[in-house]
Amino acid sequence: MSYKAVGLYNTGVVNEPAFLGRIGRQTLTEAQAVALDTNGILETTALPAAAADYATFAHPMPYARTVTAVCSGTQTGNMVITGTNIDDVVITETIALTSDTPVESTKAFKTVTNIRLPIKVASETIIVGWGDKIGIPFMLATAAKDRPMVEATLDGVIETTAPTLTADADELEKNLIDLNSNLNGKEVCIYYWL
Amino acid sequence: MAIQTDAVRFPLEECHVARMVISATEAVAASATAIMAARAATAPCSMTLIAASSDNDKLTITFPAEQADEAVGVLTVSLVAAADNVLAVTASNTTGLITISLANSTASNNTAAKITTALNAVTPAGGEAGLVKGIDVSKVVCAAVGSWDSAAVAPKATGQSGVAFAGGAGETVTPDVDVLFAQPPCPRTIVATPGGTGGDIGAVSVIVYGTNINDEPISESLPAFAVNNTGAKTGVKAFKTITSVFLPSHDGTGATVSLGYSDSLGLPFMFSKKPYLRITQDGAVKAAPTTFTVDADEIEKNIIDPTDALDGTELCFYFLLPEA
Repeated sequence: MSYKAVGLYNTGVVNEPAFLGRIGRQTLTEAQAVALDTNGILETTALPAAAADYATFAHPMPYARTVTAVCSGTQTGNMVITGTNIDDVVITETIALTSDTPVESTKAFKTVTNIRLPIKVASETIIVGWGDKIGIPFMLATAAKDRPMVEATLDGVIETTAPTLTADADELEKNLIDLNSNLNGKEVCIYYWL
Repeated sequence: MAIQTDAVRFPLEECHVARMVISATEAVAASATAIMAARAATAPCSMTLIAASSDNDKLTITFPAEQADEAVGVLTVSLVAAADNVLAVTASNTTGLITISLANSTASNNTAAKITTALNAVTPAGGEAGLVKGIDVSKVVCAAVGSWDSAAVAPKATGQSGVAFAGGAGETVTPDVDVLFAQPPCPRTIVATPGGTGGDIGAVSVIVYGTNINDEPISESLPAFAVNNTGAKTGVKAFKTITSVFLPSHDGTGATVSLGYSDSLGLPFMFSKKPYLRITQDGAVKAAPTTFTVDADEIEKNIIDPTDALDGTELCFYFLLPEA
């Protein structure tokens, strides 16, 4: 991740100054912090007779969030999601469906522009929506010790249990934060102690 | 100022740390009596009638405390003997005169309870039941003194005509005239606690006048006490100083009221929504506060009640605030 310290504080030990830190805030409005929605993107849709693209969706993504999907029956084909990340860069992710067990993307999509669904096995259907994990604007170091302290508030209250961070030093969209509380349409603020 | 991130199109707001220190002196424990020790209530709005049987045989008619002194100067009561042995109560919307005609030979027809029932339902000519000259009499209470319930069949010969109501006005106390009066140690919400004779406690509100953390004049009517209940009532505004307090009359002079302050502390911000907040008490980080109330218009309604009771040790509030 990239940020810069802007100075040093003198301490009681003249040759051991403390870094002057900065605090950045990422805010999700109530609309952006809406609860997860399992069919917010694609409502019940029959898997096609041949792999096909879908570009008309029930709702746009509320924010850079993970994408979820679940089928009604046996289906282990690949679903391919195309969209943009929090930095408006085009990204794609291929997700292997696991029948009626929900799956979730490892990337946070700010927008979804296309979903390619696999050929049907029988007459199964699929729903696609968004999850609780939020994309963040930093590529965090893999080692936790090299990351900034991160805290979050939900409706103004600091999360007692720290949020879970997923880090990736190369792909911005794989850097995620998952609050211990479920998102519920109340404002979320994420504080980075840099 | 924005902070650049790895997402070039997604800068972050920069926040600053603001610390508010509540010194050990200011962080003294909440107290129900620190501002004013228990003070007896002033007399309620009432009047007294005397029977012919004895000067000790009296009937007291009292308005509930929440009606304060609205009957003073408006309603009067006359006590007469009826021509028969039937109790009757009549009233005039024109003059505000209520006439109680006592059953002329059987005192048990004239008990305080029976007069209360009749008076509560009295219907002036052309008027509504329980309403005399615009004043609700449906909740007045009559009380017997001496042998009224067993002896009253006629009024005392003199002084029982057109008797006026008095009292009920309450009183205003100020720091200048009441030596028991003290100021909050820092902006705190105010607590009023009723006591004394439980049955005398009325459903009335203490009104506090003073200043907020910004030295601006403010006032607040505290939540009304529950009738005959000693439960304390706490306001929602933080007072830095108190300039005066209105203490209403209760249902009887046996009631008392004391004033103090709670653990809720006034903030120097008018927040539109709750900011990030950490609290330390005596240097130890504490859990989220019990109460954190914000108000974008009234600074005195921005208050924090820490989870742990104040105990005379320093408190620090740490806010993360974006640039305006």
